Amino acid sequence: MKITKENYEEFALDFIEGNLNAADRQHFEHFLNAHPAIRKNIDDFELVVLPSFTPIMPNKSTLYRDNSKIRPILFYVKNIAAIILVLILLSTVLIQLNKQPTSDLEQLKSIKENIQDKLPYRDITLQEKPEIKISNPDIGLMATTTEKSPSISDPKKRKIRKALFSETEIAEPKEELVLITPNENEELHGPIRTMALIEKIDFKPDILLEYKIDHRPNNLLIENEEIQNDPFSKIGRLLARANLLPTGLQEEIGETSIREKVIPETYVDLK
Amino acid sequence: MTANEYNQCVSEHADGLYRFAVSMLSDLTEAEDVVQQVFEKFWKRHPDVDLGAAKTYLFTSVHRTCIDFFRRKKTSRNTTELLPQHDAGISGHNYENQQLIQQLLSKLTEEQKTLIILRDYEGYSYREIAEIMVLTESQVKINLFRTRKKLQFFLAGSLVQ
Repeated sequence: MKITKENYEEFALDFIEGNLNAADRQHFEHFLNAHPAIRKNIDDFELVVLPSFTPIMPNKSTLYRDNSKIRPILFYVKNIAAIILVLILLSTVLIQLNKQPTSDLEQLKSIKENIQDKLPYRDITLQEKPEIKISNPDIGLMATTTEKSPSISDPKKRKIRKALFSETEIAEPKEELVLITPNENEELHGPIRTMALIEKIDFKPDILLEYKIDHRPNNLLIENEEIQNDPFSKIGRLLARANLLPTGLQEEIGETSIREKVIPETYVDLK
Repeated sequence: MTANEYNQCVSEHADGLYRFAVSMLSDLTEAEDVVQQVFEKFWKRHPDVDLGAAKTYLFTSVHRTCIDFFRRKKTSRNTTELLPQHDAGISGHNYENQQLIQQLLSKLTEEQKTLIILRDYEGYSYREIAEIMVLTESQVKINLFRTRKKLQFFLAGSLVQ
């Protein structure tokens, strides 16, 4: 920085205290040689420093805080009472459940088997209806999805299911085919990262989703795959390490898919 | 910051903060009140304050509280009248010096006073002072240079008398 009459005071104290580096010190000397009045001002300057002054804060002990928390015995009594109450409620519920007739339990089991039979994903025919956007901010993976919702066609079964799960909202079993296409402009090499964000279709909290990668692009080597699926979050994450293979079979990228299996409330264990 | 770390801050900084407040306010009782207030607020906020930033946080709080005191009072004070004749906190040996220093400090503006106290008593760097006083480092250097010149001038005058 150039030293001028306007800014020399910024350097003056550092000069007097010997804190300027060699180059700045030389610049400051040149400046002083060119301005004798200021040099006299600096030469006459005496560094007045306040002398030692060490007062002691009165009543300092009052500032300290006791961090040990002594809880009254009532605190523990309340906690114990709460635990006992919860145990009583739990045991009451369990007793009521055990009173359910055996025939009902068997019926429930057979219904469960029937519903599961109605959820084969191999018979699904896909409708070409791109709907959902799945994007990866890290490496620019873009995905489209087509959707097919195989509803339970038998109204009788639906009725039974509704009766069975009257307390909860029934989700239709469905399967999503998610196509992901790597962005050629992005660098794919590197550590494990989020390959894709998977937005769950017809998201309902507490409904279990399963993902399975069916096909992978021939030009993309995907390792350490892991799908993070929080049933309470609308967003799933596909974590993987991806490496782009040298020679591309670009036309086959479109076959990459993630299969999203929405399992409705039948996941409830009836055993 | 934990409660133990809060207590550590009391041990390490209470006296320094009190010295800062005494120098700023020239009144031992008000200085004590300011430090008490600052630690009261600090205790409430201590879980959110990092131990490394505690010292700057405390000095900034004392600085602001002292400025609030000035604004509330808006009266100039005669330093020698406000300082007690004998105080257990200040040793008799440097009392005369202290009286002279208080006289000199009273001739400075609040900003100049804060600058010189933070630099000479508390040993803050120019960058740290800038942070506490919300100034640029250049402003701190320029103002401190002018303040020291002013002190030199007043000191020469008082020695002549």
